[in-house]
Amino acid sequence: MRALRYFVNNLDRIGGYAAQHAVLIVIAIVIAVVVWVSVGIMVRNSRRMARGVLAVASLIMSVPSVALYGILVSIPGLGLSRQSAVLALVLYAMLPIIRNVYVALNGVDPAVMEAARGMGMSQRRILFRVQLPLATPVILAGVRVSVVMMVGIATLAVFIGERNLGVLIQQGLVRTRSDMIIVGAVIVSVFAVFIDYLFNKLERVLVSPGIRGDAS
Amino acid sequence: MNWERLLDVVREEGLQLVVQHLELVGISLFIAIIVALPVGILVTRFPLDRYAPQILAFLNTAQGVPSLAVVAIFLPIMGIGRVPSLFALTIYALLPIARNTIAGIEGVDPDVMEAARGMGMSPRRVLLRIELPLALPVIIAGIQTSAVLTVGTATLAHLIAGGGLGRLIFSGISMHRPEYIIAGSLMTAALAILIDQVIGLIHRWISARYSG
Amino acid sequence: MIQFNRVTKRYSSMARPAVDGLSLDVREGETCVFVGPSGCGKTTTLKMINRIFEPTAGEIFVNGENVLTQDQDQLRQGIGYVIQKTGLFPHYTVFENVATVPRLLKWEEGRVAARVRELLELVGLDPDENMQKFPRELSGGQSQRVGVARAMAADPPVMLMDEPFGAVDPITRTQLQNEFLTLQQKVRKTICFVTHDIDEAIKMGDRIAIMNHGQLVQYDTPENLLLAPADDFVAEFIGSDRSLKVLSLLPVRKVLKRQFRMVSETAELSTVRASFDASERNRLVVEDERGNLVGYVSRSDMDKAGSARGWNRFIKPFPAFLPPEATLRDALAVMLQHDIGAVPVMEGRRRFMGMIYLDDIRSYVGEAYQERDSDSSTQEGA
Repeated sequence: MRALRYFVNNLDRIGGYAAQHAVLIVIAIVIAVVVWVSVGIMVRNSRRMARGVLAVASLIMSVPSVALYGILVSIPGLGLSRQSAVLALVLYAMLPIIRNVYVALNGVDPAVMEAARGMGMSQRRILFRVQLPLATPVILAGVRVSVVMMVGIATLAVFIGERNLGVLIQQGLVRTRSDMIIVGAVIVSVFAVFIDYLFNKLERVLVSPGIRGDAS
Repeated sequence: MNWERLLDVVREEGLQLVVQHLELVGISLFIAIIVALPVGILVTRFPLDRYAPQILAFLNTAQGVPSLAVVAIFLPIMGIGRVPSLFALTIYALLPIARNTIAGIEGVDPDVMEAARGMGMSPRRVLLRIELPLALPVIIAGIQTSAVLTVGTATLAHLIAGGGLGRLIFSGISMHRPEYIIAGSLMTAALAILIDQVIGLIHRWISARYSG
Repeated sequence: MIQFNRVTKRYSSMARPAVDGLSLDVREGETCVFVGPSGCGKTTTLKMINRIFEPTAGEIFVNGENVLTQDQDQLRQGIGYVIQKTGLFPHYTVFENVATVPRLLKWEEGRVAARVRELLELVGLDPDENMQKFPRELSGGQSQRVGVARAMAADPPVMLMDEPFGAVDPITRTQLQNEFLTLQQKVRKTICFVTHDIDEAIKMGDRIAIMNHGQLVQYDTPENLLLAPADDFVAEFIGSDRSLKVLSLLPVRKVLKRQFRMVSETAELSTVRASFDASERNRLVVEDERGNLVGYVSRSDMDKAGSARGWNRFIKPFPAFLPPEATLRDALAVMLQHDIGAVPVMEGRRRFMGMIYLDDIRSYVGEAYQERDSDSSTQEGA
């Protein structure tokens, strides 16, 4: 009840935090998709390169977020800035996105690939007209995992200067205010559920109805 | 940045904090395993097994609650210190293990189960000889995820006076002492990577034994 | 139209070449079927034509041009390609699948749409009903039809088909084979067709190339292959039932009798008896005044028919007929089923073309074998 009261009384402030939260994630995911999808495409034909890149990515994935933030802010030029926060989130998206791009591009039915080649489609055209459209559901799944992860990890970015939903929890902690902690936790969770919904919509737009529902 | 001061920090406080950190991780992980395994198994038994998919979905969503919130939420009730820290860490560590235990057992080939029952094995025997061994690789993977997460979350224990490597990082940030931040972060990262690799090794060893 | 000139393909992982010094000509408008046990090099041979695999040595010419010196993509755009698993693009509709190559060739959209319609009709799919479907909504047979339509989209003179009917059930396969034969009569493409099924090869091929261990063992028409296998391998591969296969290959017109003794239904009994006396056969065909088939009468009935009039109540209708495109195997089946020694061949419902007699089938097949056996020593292996 106190949490609800807190929520209603501080709608403006909470809205601002939520917006900051969203902005950080949007910046990070846009960069992550552009960079990591490109990397995934570049390594798609080399098992050795893919292995190397994925090994680095999974190493980064196992670095705790507080530690990664700590390492990044210690790098001269980054410091306690939004760049550090964005970079951390982008790095965490490396594994799910590259892995899914690589797996999905190479998972296209060999018969489909052979038919495409046999009809005289160029490598480039096969990539853009056949492989990527067919890989979209799996790539989207990787992006979705990344975004959901980012929502949680972004809360910890309050310790390196972000003013997002993490502020509610951190302030609640400092002031022993369970209402603030609960509001923060609930909104972050709702965020994650909302992202699931968003991605379902996105899938309807981006994925051909011929293959919709094939990847889970 | 001054590398000598960094080494000083590691020498003076590092080892002690690493031990503290490992205690937090080890104790909470241990409790989490002995709680989550039976609970997970119970969920796959009658009459709870009907709700297994919903419970799995709930556990997945619960995993989305930020670690900071989990650590923070028990503060008003339990206060600060080691015990509340261990409690929060344990709760957080439970989720992946319980989830993978359920998923692992549910994922056992129904044909294999039917064959086992058809040969007249008791439910207890089916569980111990068939289901658990076959689900083991998935369960270990859950423990691996949980361990890595807990190493990270344990840094937050410092925020409720639970000790651990978080102290170096957070005090480093608030006091603008990069050597503290770097020392704490690198040690935490190294710890997480080490634990990840070790459990990963165990995981591969067990998987290889089963598939081979 | 397609020429192989001492073509060899080696894989680094294999000791023996997959295809070893293959030379062969596929004539324009013909269907050449490559057949052989698995690993014999037939698929590799096919896929070297559109350079899915590159030959290690030798040359391949399509329409007089060396494929190895052409731009790979352009070459492929000019060759229709059908594979067993169809390889339809699951994210494209049927329309978009068939339109793939015309769009690669930058046809204007109106022409593409017209062509897609035309092709779907050609392969027996209702365009309006199927154009907007996705591959996963199609049955196996329908998918394969779309695959064929897609391969033919830009009207390529050459088509490569790699076990195109291998993945469908036997009933659908027979149906697709028959449809394809009818289609090929219309379009007359030069086709290379790979199968491991000798019966399919015999049915589909104008010429059959039997391969073993990467080498061409025999290249000949189905008829010659069956009647004069080049060696034991071919004979064994064709199977011990090859005489039966000959029957299913040869059309009834090979033994069709157009001229033979008939009686008119208005004739006198004495005339009929005279006809029987002049014939060795125990049954005679009866026709009406306009030469239409009425039925048959048998010798024993005529002996019983006492009076001069009314003999024609003994006329019995034939229990079965054959169309002119039927095979000797069909004729035998009908004869066995109805326990008769002769079957009339009818074109359409009314036009009587002649009779097939059991004796004639026997002697024709017997002769054919004797003839081949006597001159098989002078035949060349390939």
